[in-house]
Amino acid sequence: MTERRREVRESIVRYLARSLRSSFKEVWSYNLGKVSVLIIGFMVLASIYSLLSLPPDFPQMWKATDRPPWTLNPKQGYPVWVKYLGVPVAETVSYEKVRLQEARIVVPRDPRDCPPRDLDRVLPEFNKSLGLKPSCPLGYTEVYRVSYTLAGEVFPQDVVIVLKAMASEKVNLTSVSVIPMVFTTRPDGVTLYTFEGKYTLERLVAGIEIKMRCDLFAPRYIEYYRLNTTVDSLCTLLNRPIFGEPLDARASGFKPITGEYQVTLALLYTGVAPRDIEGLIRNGDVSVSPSIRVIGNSYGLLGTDTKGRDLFQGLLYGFPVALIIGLSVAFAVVAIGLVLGVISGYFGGRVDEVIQRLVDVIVNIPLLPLLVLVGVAIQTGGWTGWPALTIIMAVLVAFSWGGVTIIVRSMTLSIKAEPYIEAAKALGASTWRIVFRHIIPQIVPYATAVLVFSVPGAIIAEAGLSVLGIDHGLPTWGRILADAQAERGVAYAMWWWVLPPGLMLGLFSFAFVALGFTLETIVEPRLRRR
Amino acid sequence: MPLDRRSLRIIGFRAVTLSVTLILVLIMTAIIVGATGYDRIILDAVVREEVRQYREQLTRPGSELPREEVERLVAEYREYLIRTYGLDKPWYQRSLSLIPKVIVLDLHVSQPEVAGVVGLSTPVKVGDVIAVALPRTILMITIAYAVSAMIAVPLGPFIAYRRGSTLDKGVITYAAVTNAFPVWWIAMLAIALAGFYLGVAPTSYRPIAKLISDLTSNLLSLNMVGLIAVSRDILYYSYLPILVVTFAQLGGWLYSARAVAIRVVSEDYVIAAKARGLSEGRVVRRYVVRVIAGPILTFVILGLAGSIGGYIITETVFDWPGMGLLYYASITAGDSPMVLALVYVTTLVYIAARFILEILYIILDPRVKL
Repeated sequence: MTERRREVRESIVRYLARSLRSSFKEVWSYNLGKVSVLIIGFMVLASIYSLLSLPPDFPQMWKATDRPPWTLNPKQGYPVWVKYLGVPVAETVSYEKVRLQEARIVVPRDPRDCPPRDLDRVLPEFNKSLGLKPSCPLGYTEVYRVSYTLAGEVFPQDVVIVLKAMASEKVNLTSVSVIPMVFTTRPDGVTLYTFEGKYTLERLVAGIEIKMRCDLFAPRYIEYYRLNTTVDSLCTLLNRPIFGEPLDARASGFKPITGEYQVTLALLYTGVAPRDIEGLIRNGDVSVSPSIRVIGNSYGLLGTDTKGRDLFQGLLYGFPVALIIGLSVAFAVVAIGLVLGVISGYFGGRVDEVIQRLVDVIVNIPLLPLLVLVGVAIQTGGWTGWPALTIIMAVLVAFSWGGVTIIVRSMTLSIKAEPYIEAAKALGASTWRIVFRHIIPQIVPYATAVLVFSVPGAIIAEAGLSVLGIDHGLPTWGRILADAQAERGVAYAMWWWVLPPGLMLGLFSFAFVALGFTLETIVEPRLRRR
Repeated sequence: MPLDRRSLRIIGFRAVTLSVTLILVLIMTAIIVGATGYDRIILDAVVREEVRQYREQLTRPGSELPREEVERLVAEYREYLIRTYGLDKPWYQRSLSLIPKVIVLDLHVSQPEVAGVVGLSTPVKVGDVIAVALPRTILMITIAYAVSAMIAVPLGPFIAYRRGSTLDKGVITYAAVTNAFPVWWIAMLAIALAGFYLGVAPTSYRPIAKLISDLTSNLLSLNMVGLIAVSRDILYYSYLPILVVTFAQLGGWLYSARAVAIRVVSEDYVIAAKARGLSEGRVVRRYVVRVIAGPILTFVILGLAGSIGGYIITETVFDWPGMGLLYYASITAGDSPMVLALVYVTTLVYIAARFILEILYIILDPRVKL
């Protein structure tokens, strides 16, 4: 008995595989079919890549615009490849795990002797920098240097230094402090003192991000260029004075200086005797690893939005979501339509009447207002992410099955009138047998075409809802466009923000509609032959 | 054109179906807002507004009531309202009481910026705000529909006669492409291209709200000079929206006109007319256009729900101060009474439009048996 069951199962699998292969071949024989299969294949691959490469908590990450990695990206950054189109570009470069240049204990012979003579060799920037005199780096000092080439005539947006410390239990985290000092040496030889701060090891263990400061160099900068301006007005756009020289005495404009920049980071350890900290570092009990990031004006394959989010990642996340939403809604709609249509057509009578009146009502309901209402209600109720999307999808399904039911019913009616159904009945076939052996198999090819046709509807509806202001909290293509819409004043000038998600939406719906057309031309003659 | 009894019966039947639909939508709305607790927000806003009015009445200059007495009366009145609206009862007893208020639009706008969309200020009833916004939306849709119809209906047979030609293929491709992309995205692109990159259209469409009110005031005061200036400005702000909407839907219109016309041009009587030596233009005008108008209307009716949704979103993109912007403003500002009213009015307008189109359909094509 089990042997036989297995045989049956295998033959079903073989039959399905064969029919799948043959229908694929048939689809492939049409040009439109080929195009659609290629696009859908690309979308499936992109979804798989997206699921593998993006972290599982990507939606939360996407929403946290005040946190890394987004804060470390340029805002409104161009895609990197626009440099091949002649757009001047400053690259975003991350220097991870910067190698230690020099480390030594700097102690002045005379306490009033600041800076000590020894320091000139360790940190030549100290003396020649345009800036208020930095606090005297006495004690154990580490120096890191990176160089960055500015190719295009534009201003990089910022320089961010991320400090992350590791410490063993031997170390008292609150007593040791680190003073990071940052100097930027420009191609024209001017060195700007761009940062100083003081952090306990405890804070560094949690990791900190430091950005450029203007007040440290601004007064000397004004002196140096003989500017007729104030610190405040000079510092309104911080990156301009750092990466450019003023065009006139009022510093109303700046000209970017291209060439090689050098960013020097000095870490001064205080709070413990220099010899002790040196020992701790040597034994690996304390280690501070800095990474320096020059934030240019371009980032990634598709640039960034106004909050620095990588639009390529956002677009990538949209692929699996679009496929899941589209396919599940279409599948549910067709399944309900198929079942109710067959019931309505085959059994007729009062059941038919009830179902048909229900269909009459459903096809007359405009979906968008209802979706808006549901969307607003779940937003008020605090639902976000997949639960919210599932509810929206359920509403879409609940009001979309009318059309399929009408078509399936009329097909069932015409099949039911065929003589062989009559014959099957006369031979004593049960209702279930007739429905499953003779009616449903004939409707399934057509239902498949309808299913494929209705895949894009849900994702287009979701996108529209997002643009109308309903936020389900997942980064979908529609959501990205809605963000652009919310900041239309700047976003519309950023083609890399508006163009790709819409193109993907269009490509997605085109592919499924094209496949639907192909399936229909394959299915239609079969239907007519019967 | 007189309608026979059969047609009237069909129309009556449709009217009943559509009314039932509207009632069902209302009940569903009540369930959605009730089960999710959304109606609490709406009713709280209603109570707040009515209490405010009551307090205003009590403290009107000339009334001699002492302060504590006013407070006591106001508190009493609030209690009374909470009981009336069932805010102390479970939702299924409460939300049904909301339906009559929605039907007559007896709700107040709760957020000032929502009323600001159409240039009004709070306190104002939702019905008054919608009364300003709705005609603007209908105007835009009607213009786009009229332009599309004027282009597609005469052009459809023309394309049908050239089946398989480059023009034919071009039209099919155009229809397929515009069908795939949402209208509102094409609108975004148009603003980006014409506004930001070419600089031939505005980049912000906010001023249109003020211009429309200027237009009405100039019309009322019969100020011709001002009227011409305002009309020119309105044209400057509205040509892109109209162009985009027409561009986006023309593909679908052309495709359906072509599909219907292909069947008609191969009918015997059309071929016979051609054989009699009548010119193509004359055949099309007299024998084809009249016949295809009805079926094209079917496509329009079927596509209406989708296109109304599309327009509402497109309006948001263009800042056109109609229903779409009202939707956007009330969703983002959390103006619950307005959201509820908008849902109701949109459904109502859709159902009414469908009904009118169906009657038109019966008049246009007497063979129709719905």
